[in-house]
Amino acid sequence: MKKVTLIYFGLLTLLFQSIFSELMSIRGVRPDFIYIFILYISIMRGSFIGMTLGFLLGIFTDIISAGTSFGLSSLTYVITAYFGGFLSKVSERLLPLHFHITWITISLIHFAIFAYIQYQLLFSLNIFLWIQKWILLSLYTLCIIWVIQFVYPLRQK
Amino acid sequence: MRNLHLAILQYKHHIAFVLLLSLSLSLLFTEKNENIDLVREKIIGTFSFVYYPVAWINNALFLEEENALLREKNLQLSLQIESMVHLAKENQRLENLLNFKRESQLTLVPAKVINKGITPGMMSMTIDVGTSSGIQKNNPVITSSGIVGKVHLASENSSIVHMLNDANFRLSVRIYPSGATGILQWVEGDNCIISEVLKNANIHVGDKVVTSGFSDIFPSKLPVGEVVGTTDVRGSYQKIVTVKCYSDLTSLINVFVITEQVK
Repeated sequence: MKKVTLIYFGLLTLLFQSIFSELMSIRGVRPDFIYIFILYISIMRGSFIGMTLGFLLGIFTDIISAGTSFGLSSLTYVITAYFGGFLSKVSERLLPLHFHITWITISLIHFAIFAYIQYQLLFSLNIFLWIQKWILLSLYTLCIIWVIQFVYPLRQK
Repeated sequence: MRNLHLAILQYKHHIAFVLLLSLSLSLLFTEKNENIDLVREKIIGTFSFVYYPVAWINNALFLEEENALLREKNLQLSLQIESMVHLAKENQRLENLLNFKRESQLTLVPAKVINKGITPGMMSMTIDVGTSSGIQKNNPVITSSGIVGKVHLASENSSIVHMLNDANFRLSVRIYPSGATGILQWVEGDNCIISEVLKNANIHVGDKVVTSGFSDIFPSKLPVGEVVGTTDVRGSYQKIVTVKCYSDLTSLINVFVITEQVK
């Protein structure tokens, strides 16, 4: 896949996220399709392309969203792409179970950073409510990745 | 030189990671920047056209249901009007007697919700009015039920609204009949909490919560919600009041923006 095609796919994902994420929201929690895209790209094409796309899409996401944390999406996508790239390097040596545990851990870290910065006050007021929020955010997107696995597996080999 | 070039190529992933991470962190910790806001306004204005077809389809889908609800509401309101006309006349007479002046008059601009934000966990929505309709940053956004949020960014024909149910939204409120004031923030679902309320304030379940008018953004006495519980904070002079918001922020279709407040 050429780099230009990847950029087009990235923009399409952004468009899909802006149009359909609200329709799929449950109690205000939306799936993060851009995160799924970045995770796939970094595992399949390496961390460099993943980080570049993650940063650009993150900045664009923050631009068209309200909220005070400008730069948060790019930060979390870059971290995901960096670790996703590492996973792509060692995926051949890993057992399928370990591979899947690793990307799920990367996803949980991604949403933990996001939730910690976005819900700082909730974190200090009620840690259990914060954990609930973090788990909900992570689970929804993880479920969608799980469904996509049947059509387009993360681990290609 | 060649060695340096090779080293950069070998470690480009790590270098890119450090660079992009630093850039993201610096953006995250940067205070409000007018240039960034300007770029955001331009991009929102350009991007908002994407939302119109989807908003149109959504509106069409809910049109029949909304129509039935409006007919029912219309009937209820007609009955209420009958009794209110009588009360209004009496009120007018009493107001004249007391030389009553209205505290404020609001100029409202109707708006349609065209998108409800894209970031998971950040609550915002895009509305179809912008600076061309007199909308400015920080204009309050309301429905007939109560506060919805405030305008975060306004482009020419659309605006992004920072909603009441976002974790970073704060609102100065007053609780009636006690008159106690505090800072309202969203917690979960349609529940909010009011912090910084004095412990000795006489607050009961069912008390009304309205805007305090202390901020420059929201005029006073706009409805916000109803008290559903209170909790004393141990070792503090304050208590926490739990509030259920009047506005259903999950299914908004039409809202109003307050563009002018004549004091």
